[in-house]
Amino acid sequence: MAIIAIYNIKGGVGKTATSVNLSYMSAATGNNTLLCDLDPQGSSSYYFRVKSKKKFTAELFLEGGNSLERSIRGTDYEKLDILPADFSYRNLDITLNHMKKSKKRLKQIVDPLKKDYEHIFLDCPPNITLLSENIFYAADMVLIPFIPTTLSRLSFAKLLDFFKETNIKKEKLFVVFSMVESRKNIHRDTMQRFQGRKRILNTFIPYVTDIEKMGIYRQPVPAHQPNSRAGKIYANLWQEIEAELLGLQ
Amino acid sequence: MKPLAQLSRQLPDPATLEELANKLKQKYTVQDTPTQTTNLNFYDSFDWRLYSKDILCFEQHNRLYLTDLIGCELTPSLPLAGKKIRFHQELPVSALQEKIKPLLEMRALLLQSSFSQTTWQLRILNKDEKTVVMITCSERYEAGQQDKQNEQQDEQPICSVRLQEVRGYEKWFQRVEQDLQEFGIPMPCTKEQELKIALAGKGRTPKDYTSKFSVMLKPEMDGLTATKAIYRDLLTTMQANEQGILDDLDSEFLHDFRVAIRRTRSGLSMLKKVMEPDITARFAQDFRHLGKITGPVRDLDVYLLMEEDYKARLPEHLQKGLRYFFDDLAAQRTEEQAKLVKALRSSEYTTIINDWEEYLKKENNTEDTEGAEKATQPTEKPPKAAKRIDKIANTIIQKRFQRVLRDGQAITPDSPDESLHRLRIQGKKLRYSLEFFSSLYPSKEMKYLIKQLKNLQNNLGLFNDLSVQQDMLNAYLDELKPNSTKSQQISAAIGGLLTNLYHEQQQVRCEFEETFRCFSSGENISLYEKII
Repeated sequence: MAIIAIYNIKGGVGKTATSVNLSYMSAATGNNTLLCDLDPQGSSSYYFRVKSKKKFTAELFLEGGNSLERSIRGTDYEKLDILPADFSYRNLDITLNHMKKSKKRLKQIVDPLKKDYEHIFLDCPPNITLLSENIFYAADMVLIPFIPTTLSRLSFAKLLDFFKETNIKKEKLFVVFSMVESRKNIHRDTMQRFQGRKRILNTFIPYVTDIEKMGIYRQPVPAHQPNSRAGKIYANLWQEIEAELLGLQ
Repeated sequence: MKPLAQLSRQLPDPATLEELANKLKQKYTVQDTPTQTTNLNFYDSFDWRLYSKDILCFEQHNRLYLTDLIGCELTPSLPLAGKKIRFHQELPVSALQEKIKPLLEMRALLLQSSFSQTTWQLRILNKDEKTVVMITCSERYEAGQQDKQNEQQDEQPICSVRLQEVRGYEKWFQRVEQDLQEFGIPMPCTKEQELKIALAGKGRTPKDYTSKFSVMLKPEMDGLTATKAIYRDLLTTMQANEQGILDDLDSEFLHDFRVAIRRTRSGLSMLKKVMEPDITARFAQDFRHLGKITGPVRDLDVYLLMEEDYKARLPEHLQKGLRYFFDDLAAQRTEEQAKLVKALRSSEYTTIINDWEEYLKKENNTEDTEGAEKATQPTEKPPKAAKRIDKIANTIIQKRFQRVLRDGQAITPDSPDESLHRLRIQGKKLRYSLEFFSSLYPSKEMKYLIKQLKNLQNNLGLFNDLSVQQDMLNAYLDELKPNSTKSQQISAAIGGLLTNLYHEQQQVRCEFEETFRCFSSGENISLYEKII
């Protein structure tokens, strides 16, 4: 039973692809799984062809309980449900700010769902905000898709500082290299620099068109092309994460 | 969270399934998935030990599942990799094995029913091409039937359709539910239902065998009719177990078979005056013979089942000898089993069973003794044949109870072991008489009386087992050829066992007094007096 947040300060690092494919793998390996799309752009929801209810808003989300449960949708895949995003989520931060215990709010909302789901994935919007703090507090694992470049390294350092400042256990933090182009020197060098460090996952996600094309097929890669390179990589990655989750418990 | 709605309907034939699919395709965007054919095999022990505890065990996609009657997994499933599993010991150590071990004990998992099922899905899509309702169609054939299909065109598969709600699309579910109403009839969406359907195809139902004896008698029945009903039930039990003994599936087929023989023999002696004396005499002899030919294998089974228990009684360094001992017993059993199979296939056996069946089937015209016993002269009408069974039962139970009471009270700490063995036999007779006639008495009181007697029997049975085991081990020691290391190791192990068994037997003997005091309590006696 774990809450896994897919997070990065930067946008466009493959958060949604990672969330969609890993939550699919979690379900496909027999776990009741929920993917919460917290990004107001709603890309995860788009991949699963799901829209939020017209009445569902950020306020209702933060209320949790019944109204939230009623907004959960079954995907086309067994054991995989999704809580679709709503455009009003762009104001989640502001709404949170007006609430009591504003840093622990998300945990309070998500924890009751643990009785129905073995794994809950949070597809998070970028930026460090009050919502991010909520996410770090609620999650058992924060998985950071990370393009191995200099800029990414800077933002990663910032994130570590932030963890230190807010007293959040950095044991939760894991890095997966994403959109890796092995022919680029900068990617190879950066990965080498990180190699052997704790909580850097061995499996990395290459930059391949199969993943790019997810938007066309609107299906997780391992569902659509289980035997493709990308399909197998997500299967391996999930195996590695499951092992790490056992270590965290 | 709210559980998802689902419903199943049974359809008369494949044509209706097609009709249903066409109707849906006219109305909705429907996506078909390719058909999948799998075998679904249900397993349980011969006496349905898992199902009796509301557990289903089945194999599908080469995995073994343990679920509740609905179909929710109780433990994670196990890969089988084509292996055939009979006993729980053959399964890998797992939660599934842990769960079934105490339920199955020594019983084998047998294939209870098997069918091949072809399924495909109809997914109803909304305008975003998102699945909003899931429909699973299935056609089931009894396993093996599909091959014969070309010859037997009239063999219809069992067709059904299952509708499942997709979370968040309740309204769609309701719409499609309406559409399905004109097709077939509703049926429960449970795994149990699948088992029942599979068994019904063979004219069977779950729990169609139990080792428990139960015959419904009416107080006003005449003695002979009631007695025949009892014997018929026991004969059915014997016949049900025959094949399992021949195939040597597990030890309990023979055990149940022998219990039915013992009960019949006990009946023949207790209910002597109900049947014609020559019939009683003939079958008393025949059933004694059946008891004799089935004895050796059962005796060896009892020891072989004790292997774990014996191991636990000995320190590790003596266990090697014990293994030789059990290897030897297993070899002996193989020999005895072959003899038993031969005996059960002999014309002598068939004649006994056929004549007995014939006799039990016959109308109660006691003057006419033609048929089973043509050679004998017509005999006089037996004195109790026409007497009401409730009167007969009262007399027998009373007599048996008084006898146990009298014999038991005469036993003192100084009485020889033999007196306990005799009391055990008397206890057994009382037990059988209570069971034969239990339907004639209030069930609550009867259960209580049987329970009280059972406690006494357990003590006496254990005492007897321990003494028989010591006798057997001593006899084995006498036969053992000395002078080899192996013999020495076996002797050491048996010596250790004998000491251990002796001490336990002393302990059990000490407990007898207290156990019998409970059995012969005023409360128990007055309950007998009240209902008999």
